[in-house]
Amino acid sequence: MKKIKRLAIANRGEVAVRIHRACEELGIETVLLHSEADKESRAYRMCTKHICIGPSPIAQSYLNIEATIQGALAGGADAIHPGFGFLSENADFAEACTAANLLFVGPSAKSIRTLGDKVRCKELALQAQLPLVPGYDGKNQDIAFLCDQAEKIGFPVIAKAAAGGGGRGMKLIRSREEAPEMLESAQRESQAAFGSSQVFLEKYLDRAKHIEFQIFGDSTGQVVHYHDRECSIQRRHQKIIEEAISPSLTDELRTKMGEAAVAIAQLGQYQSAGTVEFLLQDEKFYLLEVNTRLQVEHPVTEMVLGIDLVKAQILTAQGDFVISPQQHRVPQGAAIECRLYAENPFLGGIPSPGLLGEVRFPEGPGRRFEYGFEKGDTITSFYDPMIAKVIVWDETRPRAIQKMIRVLKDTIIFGVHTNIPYLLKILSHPEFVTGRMTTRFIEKYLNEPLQVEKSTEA
Amino acid sequence: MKVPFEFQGQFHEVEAELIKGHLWIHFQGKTWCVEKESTTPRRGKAQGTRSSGNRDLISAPMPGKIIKVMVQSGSLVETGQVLVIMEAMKMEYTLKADRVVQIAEVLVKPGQQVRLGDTLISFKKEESSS
Repeated sequence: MKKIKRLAIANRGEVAVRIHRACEELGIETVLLHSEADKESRAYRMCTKHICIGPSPIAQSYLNIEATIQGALAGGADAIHPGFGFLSENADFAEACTAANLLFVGPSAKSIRTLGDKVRCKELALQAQLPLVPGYDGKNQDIAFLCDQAEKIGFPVIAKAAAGGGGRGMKLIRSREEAPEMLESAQRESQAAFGSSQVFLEKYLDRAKHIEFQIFGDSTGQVVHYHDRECSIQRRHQKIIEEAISPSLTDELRTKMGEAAVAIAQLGQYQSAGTVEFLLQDEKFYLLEVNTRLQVEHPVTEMVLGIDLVKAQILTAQGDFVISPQQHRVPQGAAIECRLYAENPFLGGIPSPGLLGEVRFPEGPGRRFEYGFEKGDTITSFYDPMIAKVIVWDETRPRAIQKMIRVLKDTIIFGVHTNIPYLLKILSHPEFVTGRMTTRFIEKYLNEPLQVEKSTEA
Repeated sequence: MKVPFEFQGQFHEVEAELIKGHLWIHFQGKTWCVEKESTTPRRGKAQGTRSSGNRDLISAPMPGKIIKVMVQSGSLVETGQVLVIMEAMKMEYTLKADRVVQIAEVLVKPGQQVRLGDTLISFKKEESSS
């Protein structure tokens, strides 16, 4: 297979920077495919070339397949990395890349179709005899019909976008009364974010933990797992804090779940990086979904294993990545990631876009900062409000938590409000500290806006 | 920019920056944002959020787009009833009534872009006798 000389990055923010850096190490040039809004960003300043593929709204730029392919070709790229979100789990896009003679850095269009579509993935899971959460995943999208289904499953029920992930189009429905409104909202969000309004329903497990396994398929078709992450701390089904490895798994469960993750990935003939997500409640696990892309939280896995998943993806795409069967990767220590969002925790987490002033991260051993914007850049309301990811590693989980608290306190971000005060509350909560947190943590303890201390105005 | 200051007899240094009329300060692990005007005496509070204290209207808590308006002028709404659904940064946010109240006027339409603090809905004045 041909070596990649120049790679197009079809994404923005910190992940665009992350991909660029992996390319730099491999001696690959980069073309950033960006929207009009993203000229002022770190990735724009770092990449070898840039091509503007459209106006700021994502439908006209980052979700526009034709413009993205044309941009990559015009930039002289021979491969495309889609990052996460946007077109990363779009099988049509993967196919269009291949048709344009561009290497798609990720799984095959076929794998995306079977594993990435939540409804089809469940059919595959049944084949592999993986346990599933009770639910409805049919084509009938009539609101009254869905309400009946929800009642049959038993409230609380969760509605999710059939074509998406990342919390968009997801709604928790607690009663028949609020069901119609929530279902309509879920369908609208799914349509807006993924171009398909189809949703499916699932029983909501009320004290579950979110556990996921990093899977990887190398150039030869061999599939392995790179252990687990726990991402139980979520707000509106969007992860906020992730860690590797999970503090909640016994060795026996870890082995069983890892085997299940690899089994379904093998059935889907998976290549490149992906994630198999599970819910764990009362020592029983259920398959949630498979994400056919790199995850936002991939750095915690890299930190405990000393690997580079983005580089491995690129090498796999050009046929150069073979996992040696003798390699026993043993996770070391504990890694935690916090997502820093431009939002105001004192006003219930409403977005806080704006011009960034000073942005400064306290460097040190076991500290890693993934960020896409610096002083003078603007966090716009067109996109996800994530400013940066802070990742720490230490020998034990308590020490990693201690380190994260110090790092967040010493992080300076001016110009936009951030969720740092909110993150600090989570990190020092007894349920988090002891590792007993469930996906309802935020709902249970931090559902109200934080109180402003003393007379300060925030 | 580092700014030295004295607090309770001790000398400290804070990181501070003035951005668009707001003073941002980072000190001992916390960040504050102070409106420059509010350092001088001024009547009233910052506008735009529910904390503006005006119980007679619902204003936009953030810039964004109106997705759906669930009430009409004259409707009587119950506590917790959904009034307006808006979208910002690709997520939907629901604005609900915080009490039983009658709608006076709906000032926005679906699809409309609104700025922080724009009035979306006004309520009929409550009778003081109750």
